[in-house]
Amino acid sequence: MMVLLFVILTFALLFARKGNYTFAVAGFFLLLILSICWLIYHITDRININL
Amino acid sequence: MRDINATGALGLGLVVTGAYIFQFVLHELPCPLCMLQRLGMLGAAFGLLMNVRFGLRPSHYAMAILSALFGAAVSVRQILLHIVPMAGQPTGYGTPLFGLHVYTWAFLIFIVTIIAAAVLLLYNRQFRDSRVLPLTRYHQFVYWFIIVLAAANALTTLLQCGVLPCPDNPTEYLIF
Repeated sequence: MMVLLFVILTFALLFARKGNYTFAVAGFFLLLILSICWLIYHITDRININL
Repeated sequence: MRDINATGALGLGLVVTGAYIFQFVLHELPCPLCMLQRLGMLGAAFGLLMNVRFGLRPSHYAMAILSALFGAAVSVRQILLHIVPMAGQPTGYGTPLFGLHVYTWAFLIFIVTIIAAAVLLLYNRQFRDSRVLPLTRYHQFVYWFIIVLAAANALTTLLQCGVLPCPDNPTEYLIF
């Protein structure tokens, strides 16, 4: 799961270095969204609360 | 201004390299939140490197700030997890560095990154001549340094957790 985030980051960086703006930006925001999802999962999975 | 951005990215990369010293020299394996902080730092470096590659744009600074905000949120989460000492258990997670735990240092670095990016945004003249320029040898070095760090993190995370969610308190590598 976490591996996927680092793989996306690596490819986004490689696209940026190659000069592919669209894929670099798309990779960055995909990474950001998935990271936020992961953090929300981490928090909600471990706190026993009723909302 | 591109050199300042490249140097900022290099600084963030060096901080992640410091985390590797904890992992391989002190044998303290990173927890899932530690990995997300590494990701936030490399993401902030990515925003700064976009300035180096594609010219100086406010949107690239915004990418760095968004990543740093994410990293700061993760750091605060980890600080709050360990902020109350529990009887009979060691305080905090991992070995402190200069009196503060690594995640507290990470929080401070994220805040400094946000402030630095905001200060750099103040210089409007940098955006007048925003065009793609060839990378110098220094820029190439910083780019490859960050790419190798990201790939190394992917590899060590795979060795530690496989493709499953990482354990909260890792003590050994899953694949080795």
